[in-house]
Amino acid sequence: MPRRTRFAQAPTRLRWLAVLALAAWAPHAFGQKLQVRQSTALRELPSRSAATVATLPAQALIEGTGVRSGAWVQVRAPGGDPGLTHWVYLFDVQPLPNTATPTPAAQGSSAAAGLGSVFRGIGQLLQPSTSPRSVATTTAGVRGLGPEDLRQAAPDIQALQTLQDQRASDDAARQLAQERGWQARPAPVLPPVPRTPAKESLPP
Amino acid sequence: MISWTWARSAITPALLLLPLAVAAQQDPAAVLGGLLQGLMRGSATGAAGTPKRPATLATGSASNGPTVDLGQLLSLLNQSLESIDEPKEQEIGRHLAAILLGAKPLLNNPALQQYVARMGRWISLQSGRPHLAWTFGVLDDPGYNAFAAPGGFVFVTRGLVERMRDESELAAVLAHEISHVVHKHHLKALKTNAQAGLLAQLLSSQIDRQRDSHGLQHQLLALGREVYARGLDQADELDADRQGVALATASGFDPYGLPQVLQQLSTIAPDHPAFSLTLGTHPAPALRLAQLEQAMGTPLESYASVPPRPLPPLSATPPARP
Repeated sequence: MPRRTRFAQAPTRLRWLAVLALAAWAPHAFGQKLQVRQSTALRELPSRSAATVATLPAQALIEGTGVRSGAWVQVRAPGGDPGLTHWVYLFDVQPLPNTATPTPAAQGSSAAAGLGSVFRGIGQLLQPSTSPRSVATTTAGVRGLGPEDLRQAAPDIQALQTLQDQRASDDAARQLAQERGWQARPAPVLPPVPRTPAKESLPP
Repeated sequence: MISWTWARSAITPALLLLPLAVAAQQDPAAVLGGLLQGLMRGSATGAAGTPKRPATLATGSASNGPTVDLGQLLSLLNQSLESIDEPKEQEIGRHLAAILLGAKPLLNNPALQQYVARMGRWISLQSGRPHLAWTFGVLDDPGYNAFAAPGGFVFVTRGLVERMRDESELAAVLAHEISHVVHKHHLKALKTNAQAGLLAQLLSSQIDRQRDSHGLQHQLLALGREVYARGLDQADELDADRQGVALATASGFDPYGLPQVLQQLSTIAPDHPAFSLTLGTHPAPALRLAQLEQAMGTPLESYASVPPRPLPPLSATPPARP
């Protein structure tokens, strides 16, 4: 029996699950849509000194791969070889919600969106992240800690005691830093910025 | 974030409300009174002497009626931040942290708790207050938030950690929260809000209290709601962004973790139920990004040679202690 036919004859519930699974996986597979905020250079490498491949106009839509190198995000070459990638300055692009390709999960009920969250959670929770995780952009889904929870909260002294007992020692922190390659260095000085709109200029 | 925390860190407004909010089920004056009396005494209530649930942190109880000494309270609120010494600051933090832990439990994942505690401690070691008793925890909440409390308490939610793409993002959120504590932004907000309305309210309440303790309760609750609604000073949030980036960078992390977090936050609808508290208590992500872009400029690109690393695999199985 052809595969398409088998899918079509599968129980409706299973077909929805398949669609939802695909929807949950799709953003990771196809990256994230980015909109160019201001005219910017598309560079060959993640560096201001790298060759400029093209100049992207403001409002142009490009696709990010989810890879970042410092202040540079990797994007697929617009209209070119899907395997070809370039780099743009992080502050010159704005991620768009992952709703460019509506699916039943994206369009549908809160239950569908919630299930999508469940799919994202399975196998990803605190596992190595080799691809970016999408952030839900609809108002559906799980509810987080809110003011009402805080208003009803009673102090939990036992939990506080537990937490304080589990404080990390300086030595344990330094050991993890060594294992993970975190090396202390002089702090850069970031001057205060007056609250005015950011300058709309192309990075040199 | 962060708030964030991205600092909820934003805890702040929420936590400042908490002692008062608890009064919905308890005696608010007793709760706040106990806190303030503790402040007046210094850190007389040590961890070992803390009562068990469901006892309150307050020295007074509902049955004892309001125990707050308004004269001492007014005196405290008129003092400078510098006069609130570290033991008093930590006492405030303990009370606020306990209430937050009452709202959401600690996540039952010892490996993750240990990882966050160690990363947080590492970053705090590079901060301007390395000797505080820094305490980090992960709350079992699907929402996206991070919180700080005076004295070195920092919390992130499970929902936030799940959405972190790499270590530089988590480090950025923790550094933002640590910066709030280092610069005493919560104490400043408490003092500011108190001076804005509490003094007058309590002065009148002192008279009312002689004949009706409930008048004081209602006024304290109203003050709490006001504090919650205002949140931290928006300039302090922007300051924590800037200081947090510097701190995360000094701790060896890629400096662009926070901008990346803010970019993702900018795609979220403000009323998203998992993000609404964070987004409602922080400046708009676009403003925060614009400020960071100017503050970071090009010099920080030289610090970005450290490639962001993914979070390590962390199971629910506790690792062997070193």
